[in-house]
Amino acid sequence: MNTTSLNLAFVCYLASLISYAAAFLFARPRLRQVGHAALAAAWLLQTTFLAQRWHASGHAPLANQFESLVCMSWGITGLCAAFWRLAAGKWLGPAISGLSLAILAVCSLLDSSIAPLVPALQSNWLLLHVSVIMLAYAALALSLLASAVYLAAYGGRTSYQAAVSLDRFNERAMGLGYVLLTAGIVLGAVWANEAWGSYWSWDPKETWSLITWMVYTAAIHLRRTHRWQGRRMAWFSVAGFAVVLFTYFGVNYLMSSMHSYAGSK
Amino acid sequence: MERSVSEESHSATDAMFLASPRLLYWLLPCIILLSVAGTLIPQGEEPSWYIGRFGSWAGMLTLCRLSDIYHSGLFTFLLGLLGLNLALCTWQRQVHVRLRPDVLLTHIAILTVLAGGIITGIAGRRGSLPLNIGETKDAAEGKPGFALPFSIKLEDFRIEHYGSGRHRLTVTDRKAGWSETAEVQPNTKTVLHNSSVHIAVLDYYPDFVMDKSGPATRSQMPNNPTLRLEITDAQGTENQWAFARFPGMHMGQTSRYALAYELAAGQVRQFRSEVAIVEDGWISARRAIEVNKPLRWRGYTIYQAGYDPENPAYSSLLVSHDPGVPVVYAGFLLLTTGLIWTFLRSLWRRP
Repeated sequence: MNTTSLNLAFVCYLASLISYAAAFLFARPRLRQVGHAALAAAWLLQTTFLAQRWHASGHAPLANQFESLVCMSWGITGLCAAFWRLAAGKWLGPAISGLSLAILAVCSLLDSSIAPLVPALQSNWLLLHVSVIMLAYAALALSLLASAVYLAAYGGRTSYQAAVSLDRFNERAMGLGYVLLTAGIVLGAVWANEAWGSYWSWDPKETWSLITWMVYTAAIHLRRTHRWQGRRMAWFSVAGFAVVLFTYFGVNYLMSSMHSYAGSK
Repeated sequence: MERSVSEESHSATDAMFLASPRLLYWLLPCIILLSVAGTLIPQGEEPSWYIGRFGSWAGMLTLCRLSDIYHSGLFTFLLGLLGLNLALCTWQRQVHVRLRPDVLLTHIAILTVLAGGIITGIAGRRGSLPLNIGETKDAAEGKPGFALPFSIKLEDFRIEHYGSGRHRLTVTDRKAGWSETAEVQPNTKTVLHNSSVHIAVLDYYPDFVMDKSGPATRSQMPNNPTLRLEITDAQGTENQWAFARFPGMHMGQTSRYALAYELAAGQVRQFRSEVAIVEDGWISARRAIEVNKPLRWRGYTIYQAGYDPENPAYSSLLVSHDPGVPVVYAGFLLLTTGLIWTFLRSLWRRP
């Protein structure tokens, strides 16, 4: 399939990152506007690519790791618009550009060919379950970005307004990611009962998604009941996303699972 | 019976700890650690498999139930303790400080899911129904098996593929010594070796059989793929058979050309079992079962579970009867509602 729009999205993310860097290095605030425009263009191009792929394959572009990664990157950029006002600092645009560039670079290493759906994936639950899980990962990636910026720029100095804003951003993104992750696991369980005859089989992918859910459950309770915030919560968010990465990549590559069709293909 | 003050204070402390979020922070890492172990150690294999894989450690693994962690007493105890902790914690907070309704709903939802899981564990039944076409069964096999209130007859089983597959033919000229591979298609001609040889596929038999009327196909399943070919070269025309499963069969040793035929079947699109439900000797219904499209009948759900590549008449079905499912689904609904409510509430909250 033609990947021109995805390649152009990559170029736009790169242009966006360069613009943000130039705005910072040469103290030209107007270049930040160029960065925002390039970011928006990249998202529109990714939307076009996903729509083309959906049309060409006849199913939602969520059937393998390449498609789900492109979707996740699309979700990260899309969600950042919703979180834009919450990010008081100037970190969100460059962070999103950098992360999306990295994700699309990983995508270029994966098989992008369109294969017909195996029987287990021929269901509308594919769209519901995988899209919600990918949006959850996108929201949790935003939480990770806010935490990384917090630790890099404001670690330990929570009195700054920007640090408080980053912590609040982290809380919101993690909260949204947790709701979506729960909904995604629930949808997956219902689909598993429909396809495999059991809503829970302790399959490695299921188990690791439950582990991810428990880690974020602990994080949310620690914030609400023990007032964990700032630096400690930022580290928790980084650790939580490491578990997300293992659930998403590690299980596919290192473990034998009923979800193996979603692997490296 | 008299109890000492220290005993009472201990039991009060125990009760407080059971109703405390601190217990949750002990339980979650323990459950996570055991869950991780369960994904690293293959679960539910035969003892001989563990001996082959882990040698002298196999006995220890089996003894500690690490070969079946998720059904072990320790794991069940931890999940039970988690449920108890959540119930007591919710109850205590509700009595003393009045939990927010969204949080209360979320906690009740998790308890509902756990209750559904217990019902599944106690009353749920799963078994397999291996059937050949024409066979009828009224009991599912498993540990333990169970009788069904109806019988199931497998009337037909089909594996549908994307496309008809790719026919690859390797032609070797015994005299001249050259060999060439080409993709051929039924009812088309293929040119080989600088146009010196023309091969036409006259007929394709996916499931070749020789009956009274001559060559025929038993089904459209590629069980015995066979091509009837016409080979034309400068010396003339000859007819040959090429069998994918029996390469040397009927191959004229006098022929100048040796053939090797492969059929790469298209990817599987769907497995489809046509079944009849038999009750009191009568057929009550006829239904098709596919992957993702199970059949529901009198509280039982029947799934397409497997097939045998060597036996096209065989289909393996899975039967499930799980009264815990509606409870778990109710819990799922409450949980999602509660969490969305909590998130929206946090959005409206003033910073």
